[in-house]
Amino acid sequence: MSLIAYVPGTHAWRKRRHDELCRDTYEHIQEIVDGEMTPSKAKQLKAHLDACEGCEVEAEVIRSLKEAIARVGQQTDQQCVRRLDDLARRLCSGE
Amino acid sequence: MESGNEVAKSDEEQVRRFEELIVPEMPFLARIARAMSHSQAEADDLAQETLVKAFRAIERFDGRYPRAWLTRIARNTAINRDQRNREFLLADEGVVEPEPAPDEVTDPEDIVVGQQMDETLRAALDDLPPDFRIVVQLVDVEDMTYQEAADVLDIPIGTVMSRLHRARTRLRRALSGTSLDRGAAL
Repeated sequence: MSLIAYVPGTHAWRKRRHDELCRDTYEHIQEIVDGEMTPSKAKQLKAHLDACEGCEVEAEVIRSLKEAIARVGQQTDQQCVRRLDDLARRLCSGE
Repeated sequence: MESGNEVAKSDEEQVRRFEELIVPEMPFLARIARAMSHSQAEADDLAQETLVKAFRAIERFDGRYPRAWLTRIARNTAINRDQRNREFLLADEGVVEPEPAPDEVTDPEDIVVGQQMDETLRAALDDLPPDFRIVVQLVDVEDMTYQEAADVLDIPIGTVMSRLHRARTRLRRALSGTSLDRGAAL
């Protein structure tokens, strides 16, 4: 990369800065979607997400997958729950 | 100074605490036992053994975070279960989950919708190793933070993050190419 990439305001500088943010954001997208980032870091990376289609798509994929997992994972085997309720009742009654 | 009798709670009091704190969590217990098991039959056994242990130990429970307490008991019970569960003990180091190739990274539109998607995802979740599946269950379904999941599973937070990432990568791969309705959200 030429030295011009380090001169603020040039096209090469903006591209280098964008690429750095892309790598940083991509690496931390999971934490952003899971709400596990510090607010200041999340704010910086979210600004990049808003401006970068590739990173935004990746975030949306993880967000959609997370929602689907939450929906499917909430399904509970009702027979298992009934057996546990019966067992709890027996334990509490001293049977 | 309080006597031993004053400190000790009556059996009736312990039963009341168990009913109040633990019994409402039976659906949660059923879900995490399933996430820690290879089959529903194994999950039933794990959930019931966990419940009996919780009942016997209720006197030592401080009453805070029943779900975290139940998860720890279930995890320890799963570890001691039988030879098949040795994999639960193994760290995942050395098992490298390949990143999806660029052409198999799933677009939001590229994930199937509706009931068929749920069935595909259910099957993909069942195919995950239990030590991956329980992390996904705790973070994505039960809304635990990385730190909370790490604490109840007694693993480093970095392991929670890597298992979560690798599990999601597997799930994305399982769901890719099954689009029914381009442009529809999940």
